[in-house]
Amino acid sequence: MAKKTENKRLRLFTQESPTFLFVILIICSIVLMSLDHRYHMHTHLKQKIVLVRTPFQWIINAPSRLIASIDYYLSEQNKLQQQILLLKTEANLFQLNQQKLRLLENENRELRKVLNIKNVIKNEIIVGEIVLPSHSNGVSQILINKGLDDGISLGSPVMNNQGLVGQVVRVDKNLSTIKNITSNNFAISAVSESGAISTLIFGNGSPYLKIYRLPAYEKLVVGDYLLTSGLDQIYPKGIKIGKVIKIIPTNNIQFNEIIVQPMTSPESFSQVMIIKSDNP
Amino acid sequence: MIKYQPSNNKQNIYAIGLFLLTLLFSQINIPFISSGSLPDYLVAWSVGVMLLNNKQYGILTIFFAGLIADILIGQIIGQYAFTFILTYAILFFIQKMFAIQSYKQRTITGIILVIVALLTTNITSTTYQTNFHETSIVLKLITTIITFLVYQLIIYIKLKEN
Repeated sequence: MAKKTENKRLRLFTQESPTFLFVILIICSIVLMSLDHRYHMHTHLKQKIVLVRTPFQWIINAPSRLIASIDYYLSEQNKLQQQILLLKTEANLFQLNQQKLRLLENENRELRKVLNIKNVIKNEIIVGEIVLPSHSNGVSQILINKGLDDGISLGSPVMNNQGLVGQVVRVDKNLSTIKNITSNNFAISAVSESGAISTLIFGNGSPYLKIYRLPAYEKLVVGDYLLTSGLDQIYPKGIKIGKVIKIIPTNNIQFNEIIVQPMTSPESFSQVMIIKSDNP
Repeated sequence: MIKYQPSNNKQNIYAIGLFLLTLLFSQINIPFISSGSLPDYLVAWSVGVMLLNNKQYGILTIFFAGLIADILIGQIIGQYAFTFILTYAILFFIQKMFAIQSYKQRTITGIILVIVALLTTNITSTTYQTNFHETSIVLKLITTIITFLVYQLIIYIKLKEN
């Protein structure tokens, strides 16, 4: 009797078989995915459940906060004094540079007036602190503690003192998510330091950036820096993107593939600057 | 050979506890491993739980767990729900065709399911590309299988205790 029941249960399409439910739920999932892809329900939903996500982020941040506070208390006085001295020297150097820059800025402004060139670069900057995690479920992202309340808008470019970091892809009330330049599908319009070569750089999920097809006649060499061109109307002109580290010939002799080392990596900084943009 | 006990409240608590831990793990970066190669903890969890007792954790429970994961940490709503349902369906049909009883058999089935689930998440991913960093996918597969084996071991130890 027990065997019979077992055999009945093992049949594929008996009444107990949940095949119908499988099909229904799979259709539901596909419909949900399609709707989300079209209407971006996920973004709105995530903004509403920020209260649920915050404790998770607090727990994740707890160990690093603990280590930082222990490190702070255990730091030697001498070490701190040395650091202060170093920072003071750096501050003096920066002040000197700032004076030079102010002179140059004034000169630039006067020349622009004479030549009647509009100033397209707006330098309104918001400084944000990075909140862990630096990735979410395998997708590289940076979470910062500034959001809609601080005037951040979707699509704003993000940089730090070393170079371009990425772009704001989601804005909540007090938090924003930044897509790193090395993320898959990330594209930036770039120009070489000399201004002679203009191209597109792509992120592909690896730690490096790539130029897939650069004409072989372009004189780009290993060690050259690439900057934002400003042509995309998103990133202001002149922000450092990365350094050429490898030039690989492709099957088509007319083109080369270029590997670029980004100037910044998410592990190397704790603060970022968000450039307020009128063209998100 | 392990005889899996019928479900009880303890199993439910372990499953929920592991789910919460999984959500936490999926937000933590591991040094020296690029973010693209980090294990898909949710896939490892779902396969582990389904193999534990897929009669207890019915298809609807798995579907809603997938939806919660999608809302909290997913890229697109329905992605994990779809993956979990597909994995569950495959496991259901495997169990109908083969008698899977020993620990080794369950582990091998689990590894196959992890591979299927990872492929599904990659295909349904919004950032999927054929020229995606290949090493990352292989590494991700390896790390996810290792995570699944750890989950399987935790579940096995806890069942032995019961």
